Amino acid sequence: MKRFFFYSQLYGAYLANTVKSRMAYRADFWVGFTANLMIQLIGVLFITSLTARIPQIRGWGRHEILFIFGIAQAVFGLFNVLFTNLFELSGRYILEGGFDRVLLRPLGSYFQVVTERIDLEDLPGVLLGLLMAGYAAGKLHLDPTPGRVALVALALANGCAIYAAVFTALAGLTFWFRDRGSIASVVLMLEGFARYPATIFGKWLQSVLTWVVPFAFAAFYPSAWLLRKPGSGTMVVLAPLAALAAALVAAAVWRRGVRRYESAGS
Amino acid sequence: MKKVAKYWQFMRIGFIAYLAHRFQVLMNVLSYLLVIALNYFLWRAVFASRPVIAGFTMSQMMTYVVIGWSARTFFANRIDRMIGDAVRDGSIVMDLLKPTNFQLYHYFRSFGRAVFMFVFMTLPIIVVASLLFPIKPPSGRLGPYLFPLSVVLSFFLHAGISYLTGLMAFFTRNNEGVFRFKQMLVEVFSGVMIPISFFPAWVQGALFWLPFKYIAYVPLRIYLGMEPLSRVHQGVLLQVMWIIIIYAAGQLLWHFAIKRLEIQGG
Repeated sequence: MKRFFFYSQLYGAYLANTVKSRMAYRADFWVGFTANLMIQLIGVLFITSLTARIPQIRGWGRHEILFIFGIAQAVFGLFNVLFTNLFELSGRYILEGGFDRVLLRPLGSYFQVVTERIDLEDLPGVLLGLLMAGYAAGKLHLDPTPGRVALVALALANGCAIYAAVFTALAGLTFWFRDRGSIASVVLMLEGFARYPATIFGKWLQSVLTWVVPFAFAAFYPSAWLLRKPGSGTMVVLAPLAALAAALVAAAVWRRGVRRYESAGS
Repeated sequence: MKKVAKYWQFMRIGFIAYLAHRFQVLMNVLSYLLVIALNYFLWRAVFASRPVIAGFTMSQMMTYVVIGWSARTFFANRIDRMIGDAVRDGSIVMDLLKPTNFQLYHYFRSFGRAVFMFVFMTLPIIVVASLLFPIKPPSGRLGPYLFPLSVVLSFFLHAGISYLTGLMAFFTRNNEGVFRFKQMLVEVFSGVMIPISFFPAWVQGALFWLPFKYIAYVPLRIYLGMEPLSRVHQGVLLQVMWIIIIYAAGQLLWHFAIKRLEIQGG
């Protein structure tokens, strides 16, 4: 418990530091923030245009699709705010030897890598995703009862944990293979498709997104349950278990990987 | 003649530089095949509800997806990132010492990369994808001849857009946000992710005044034989016109950019 408070305090200090250093270059921060906002808006334009001319896709109505897409956008946005440095892990830390510095400090190595960059510029993704989900929920007459709001919050945390675990495990592979994150970029492609109702891709792909790379648990299954889709009850119960399983794998990869770390030489 | 030899050398360097990244290229081929497959399933689901949407039949759309994403491997470039990195680490001074047109240097170096990508990515992807998915050969009287020309023009058009984006590195330290914004603009408004005719009328109206749709949408409609002869010629001419306009804009912006250059440290 004491350790938890210690690390929370430390996280606060890192966050304050991030805000300070970003605000030193205020114009650059707003350039990034605006660029991100535009990117997310283009994403919204894309999904609304895709669904505008058809009544439904394989049984999913337009607003149901927008709801799932919005939640997924928010989950991935949150992951990007908190864990963006995972994408630097292969190159800057492991291959180029930046991990030496991390190991020299009396703090958890994973905690350090993650907190060294908190990407506040990615907040527009979270906000716009929630706005779109809220708009779609209104059209579907899903009132924001405390229970539903709590479930969305839990889904955000749970989904964020799933993405973090998967990308931690993938980045950790660099401890064994000298690869600059190209495996992670293949899996990153899958994220874009986890924003649709997973059932529209057919059984085969749905199973991959559920059991192999469990992105469907991040947004789709919790959203489907909120949309009262039959059969989604079991899957929503499994979602935290999926996150837990992914986290255990990631933790194992991390522990073994750190032990293998040999610095960059030279 | 000497000039031609010079740019030929830039192309050669661009080509050779990528021979070192074989594993990455292989992973990229796999990730493109994955994206094509996922898009294929997505669009198949979309077209399950209606036979013709926004002027496209399902079989046209399937060909559009496969050829569009394959062509993207050829016309993609990293010019913006190359300039951004060179400005940040100061190695741009070495580029400035070269007695050459900085813009054309980047165009041709990247064209060498594009030739590499054509041989080791575009062709393998098209071969594998055509075995897996039903795609149609180029149709119409001019499709087979003008499509290759049009895609080469796409390369130079996109190179120009990336060059302009890259020059932004002289004005802001936040390159990453700007580059990602450009990437998203090109991905969505070039028509690679979704045909322009799916967008609402006001977006299509705005895109009429912008160069993006000439990167993918226009060449792909030529491939599919969806345009009458006069529109085909007009499309290719407009590609050339945009290449010239953007080239001129690049020359102009360069004069402002170079005055802002400051090398940090040393």
